Amino acid sequence: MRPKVHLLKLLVAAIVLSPFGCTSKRGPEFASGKQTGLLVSAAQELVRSELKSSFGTPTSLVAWQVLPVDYGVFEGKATKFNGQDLVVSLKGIGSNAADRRLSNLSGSVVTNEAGVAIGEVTHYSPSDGAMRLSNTGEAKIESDTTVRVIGDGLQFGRDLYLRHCMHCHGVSGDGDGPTAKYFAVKPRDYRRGTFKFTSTVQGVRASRDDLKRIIKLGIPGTYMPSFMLLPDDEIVSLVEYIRWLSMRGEVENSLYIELSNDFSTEANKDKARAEFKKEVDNFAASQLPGKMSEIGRDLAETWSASEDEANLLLPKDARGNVDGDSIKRGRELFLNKDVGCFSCHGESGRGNGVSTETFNKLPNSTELSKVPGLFDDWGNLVKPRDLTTGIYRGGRRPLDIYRRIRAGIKGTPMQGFSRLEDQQVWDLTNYVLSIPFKAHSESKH
Amino acid sequence: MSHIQSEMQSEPHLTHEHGHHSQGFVSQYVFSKDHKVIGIQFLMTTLLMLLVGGALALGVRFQLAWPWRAMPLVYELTGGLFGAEGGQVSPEFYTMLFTMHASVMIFLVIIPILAGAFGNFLIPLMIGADDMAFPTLNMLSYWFMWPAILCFGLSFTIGGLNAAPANGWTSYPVLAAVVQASPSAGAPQTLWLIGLTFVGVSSMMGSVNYMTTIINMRAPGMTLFRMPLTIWSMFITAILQAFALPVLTAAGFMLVAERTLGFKFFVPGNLVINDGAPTIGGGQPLLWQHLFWFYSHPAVYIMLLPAMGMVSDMLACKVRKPIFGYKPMVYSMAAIAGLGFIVWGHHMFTSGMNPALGMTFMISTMMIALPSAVKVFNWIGTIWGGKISFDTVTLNCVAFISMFIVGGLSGIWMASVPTDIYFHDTYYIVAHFHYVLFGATLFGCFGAIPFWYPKMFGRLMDDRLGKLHFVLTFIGFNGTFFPMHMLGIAGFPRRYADPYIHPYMEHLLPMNRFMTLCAILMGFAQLILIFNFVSSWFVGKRSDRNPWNANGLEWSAPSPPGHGNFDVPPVCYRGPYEYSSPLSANSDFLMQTDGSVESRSSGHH
Amino acid sequence: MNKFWPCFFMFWPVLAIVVFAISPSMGWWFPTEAFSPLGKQIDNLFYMILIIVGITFIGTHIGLGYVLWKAVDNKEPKAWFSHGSHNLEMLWSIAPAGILMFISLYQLDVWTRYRVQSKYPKDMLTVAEVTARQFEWRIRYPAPGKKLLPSPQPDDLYTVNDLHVPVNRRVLIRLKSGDVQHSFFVPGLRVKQDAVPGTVIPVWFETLEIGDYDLTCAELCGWGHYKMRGRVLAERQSDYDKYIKSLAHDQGYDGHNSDRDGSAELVKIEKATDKK
Repeated sequence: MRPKVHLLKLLVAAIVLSPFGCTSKRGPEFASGKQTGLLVSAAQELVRSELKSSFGTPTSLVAWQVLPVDYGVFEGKATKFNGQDLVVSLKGIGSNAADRRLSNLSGSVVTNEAGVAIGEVTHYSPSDGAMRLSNTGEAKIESDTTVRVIGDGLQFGRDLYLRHCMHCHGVSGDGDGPTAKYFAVKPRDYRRGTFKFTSTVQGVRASRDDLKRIIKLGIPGTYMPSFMLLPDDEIVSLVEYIRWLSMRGEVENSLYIELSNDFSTEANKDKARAEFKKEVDNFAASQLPGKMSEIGRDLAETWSASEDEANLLLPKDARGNVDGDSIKRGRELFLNKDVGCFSCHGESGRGNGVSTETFNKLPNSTELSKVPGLFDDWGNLVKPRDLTTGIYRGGRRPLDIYRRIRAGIKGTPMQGFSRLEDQQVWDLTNYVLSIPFKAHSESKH
Repeated sequence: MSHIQSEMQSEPHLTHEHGHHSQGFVSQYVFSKDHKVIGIQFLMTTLLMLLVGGALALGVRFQLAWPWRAMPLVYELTGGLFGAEGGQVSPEFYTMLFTMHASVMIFLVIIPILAGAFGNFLIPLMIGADDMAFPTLNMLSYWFMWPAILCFGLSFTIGGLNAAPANGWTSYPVLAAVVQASPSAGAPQTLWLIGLTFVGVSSMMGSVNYMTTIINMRAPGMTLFRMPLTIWSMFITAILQAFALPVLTAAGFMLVAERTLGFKFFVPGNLVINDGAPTIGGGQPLLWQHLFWFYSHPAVYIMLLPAMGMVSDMLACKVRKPIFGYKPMVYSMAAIAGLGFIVWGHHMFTSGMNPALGMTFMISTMMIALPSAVKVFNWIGTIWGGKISFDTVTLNCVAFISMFIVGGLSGIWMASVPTDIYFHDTYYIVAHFHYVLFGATLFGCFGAIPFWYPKMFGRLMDDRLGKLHFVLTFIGFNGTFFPMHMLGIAGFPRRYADPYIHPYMEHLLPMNRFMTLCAILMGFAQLILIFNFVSSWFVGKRSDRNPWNANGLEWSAPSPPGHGNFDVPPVCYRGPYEYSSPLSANSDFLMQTDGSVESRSSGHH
Repeated sequence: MNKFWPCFFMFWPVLAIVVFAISPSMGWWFPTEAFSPLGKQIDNLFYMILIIVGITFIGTHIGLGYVLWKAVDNKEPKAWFSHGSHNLEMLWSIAPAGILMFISLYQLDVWTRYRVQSKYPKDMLTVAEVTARQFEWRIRYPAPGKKLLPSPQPDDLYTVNDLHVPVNRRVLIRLKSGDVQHSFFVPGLRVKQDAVPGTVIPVWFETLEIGDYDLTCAELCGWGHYKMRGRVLAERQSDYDKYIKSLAHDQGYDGHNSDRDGSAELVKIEKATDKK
């Protein structure tokens, strides 16, 4: 009997431990971009460490205050403080704040009003306001001073992202999650900061509302489903996290551009490895801090611009009547050589224009593509929309179509048509919206 | 006690002399044509596959209990799959897990363990034949399992580690017919269908063989109504297989043709899938469902009837009593088989088929519950007034009855169309068929393994370990599957990787954790079975010919029987269940081969 | 000690019954009561079958426990030599047959009313066409004051995952699939119907109370099967009309017929969610 008792013990132990013991401590990781891989290894290291110090890892996020991201801020007056415990009653401020997150603030950073970090929250109970800190720094606070707790919104967004979005868009937002490879239409790679369907004028990024709209409504015709029923605070946090991931990708890209002249593997085939190490260290010590703050400033500027009312694309003229004349004028514009819609979308709007069969220039390059067709900035072959199906990815409101024509679909060969008059754009819109029904009636005859 | 019995005990080693033919290792143990070796090969293979299927099930359970947490072993076993995601699996990986769990369990465990392992081993022995009617066919039937296993195994890897059949074991078109609809299951899905065909070929060879053997090769005196219920069940199962399988095979070929050659059987026109061109053609998705369930519903009985038969035999022996209502047992099995062909539509109550069909299928489905009920009552009647001894075999048999009652009764909600509207494709159905397939069939097998183990290997399995295995499995099983009834009533749909994104299911997470812990317990308990099975082979107590004092012909053969099975050609004098007969004065059993009693009682001696 | 196993086999059915008994109070029961006439009938049938099945379950297990107990205790030198009883066989064949026949005939009526098209109520409002696709519910309403036509019209209104219906009214949706097979499952209303590619299936239901009801997919439709979260929102006729109007307004939005962009549609969705 004896060995059997042991067997039983072993079994019980295995069963109790299995869900915990077997679960490895690995966490998700941000992948490096392809372009970073083109640098010499010392420079690659530098990019990684720089990204890590400015953005952290998926399990330990860093809120870089320069960026125009609402990390989720709670504010309150601290009453007692003994170096590790303080009592504070918090209230959310800003768009990305939700009281229901108060009970899960651990990992957020506590700062004083000047923005100097005091410590990191390990525990907070909203009922009595007791807060425990870890990693407490030099900064001291007197009682009755205002403290801020920053970053739980980003963490909340991260959690949601890892649950709802990561399978397609990837942990680092590179559009290369495990499920992505099966899709004909590739998930968006955020790291360029470019989003296709925006309400902003040409050359300006997507606004928060644009991202929110896409998350809520999905993108018809693709595998981006609608997350209509996610609570609003979850969508807000998701949007902030996605913007943050975009900015992270852009920082990586900027660093690459900065480093590629001196440290790309291509250009430095003959140099010894030790030399790089020195040069890279030199660069890191002398130029990098300045460059980083420059990159941060640029990002803050471009991303803030997308929230600017002045950059919201609204037609000067109203749509007016939708009548046969307007549709006819639209059809003429569609076939007009100078406007040239038909060259991609085809004369009947089926998305089979002549440029889908010719070799075109690849984006950001002077080379011609190896296969015929049109390519977007991410290097994916894109099909011009088949306008007869009645499926409009960026939305089907007249305003959406107007914006697609006026500002283009960003990052794709669909360029905006700024030269057209407003009324002409409306004519085109009316024509485009009429195509599915025309095609339908035609096919019946 | 009969003189045959004493003769057996005095010559325990007869088997070795008899069994030795000059055969090479390969022809004796690998490509053997001996039904016993083939049966044991089937048994080993299916037990191995049971572990594979169980591991897949634990993957499913893990995801439901700790959604999106790093799944244990996936990273390690696949060399870094989902490393960047921190081990969090992808949703299509989850669909692969449950698809392959079902496929492995149904096609590589349940069907072959019953018909392949026990059918092969028991049929000739129980009817007093020296082997199957077609030994070569029999051998092929086993070896056609391996291409199927290979296909299933390859389908895990052929499209990359993250690709495998992922469309459920039912493989409903359009999802399974258009590659782009479920791209992670591209080539693997086709391979899976081919594997299914191999399983079908294997089963078909077996069933032709069983039918012929049972009809033609019974020992003298073994009339149809003297056959043990195991043989009846195998016979009926073989008939079911033979009639139902061609339909599935044809459907499988149609689906393969649709996936690879562009035929249009199941896919209607104008579907835009994964941004592809609209589909062309006028196929009908419901056609597959009809064809598939025309096989797969009888298959449910293929997966159950042999276990019913074996449990009847074991139970009668363990309570030392004749089966209560032998003929009603036979007729009810025949009725189940007959009705089994006209109930397939109950899988399709919500599919939008003609509602009049729904009514017809509901009535036939309700009626199929009747013979099942009769069988349950008869089993209880068999125990009634018996002298029971609780060993591993008995425990598993009683568990079989108890679990089958639950599985049968929960089916009534499914059979009635309005309530099925609600329960269709929720966890209620998952609970139901696990109670039937695991609760009944596997417990039956867990009883049958120790019961016939001495006949297979000449040694007894360890009863204490057997009981430990039973208790842990029983607790784990009920802990895992009983709460599924609750989940089903709460509207928890099947096949959801993350049900908790729906707020109305959020509160069911703790229950799922509990179920997963029970499933892990049950999974580990199977290691005891494997350990017991393997170790008893070497250190188990040696067994004589008839360790259970049972009546069947197989118990008059040596343990293990040599080539040709019987040293004394058996003659059958009576039915298999004459336990505690007043005719046998000194013992409580009367073997079918025992001719002394009849002659004594009729005064001819 | 030899009574241990009969007790063991009797312990778990008792536990099973206890679990069933406490389930409603533990939240392991129907997500909500049924808010549709069909749902109420289904629930009644469920409870009726529950009673029959419960009695059978208890009865058979008591029988099993009793015979096990007796068989362990059997002091006779030999077991009872019996091959069965014709009368008992007749009894336990005919009695269940009668019960099963009763159950099946009893519910034909409910099934007929809800699924046989010729028996559909006449006064139904066809609210929308619901097209299931991987992995969402695309919904098409007719323009305010118009009827839903089988083919899309220029003034049709589109939305996703959010089906509004007037409360206390028999409504019909035309259920379609755009790609693979899905299943339209509203647990709170006890409605389930597969969306079969190539077929338009009319599904009717009636909601009895204002509220939103979860909509899920109940037929495996691919890797994102679980993502198909939608809802059916039952609201007052006036609210429903208002909703359709606002949808129409939004669908025609050209950046001028509203004060500011800010996405009129989004504002509307938020309001609807708040109602919950």
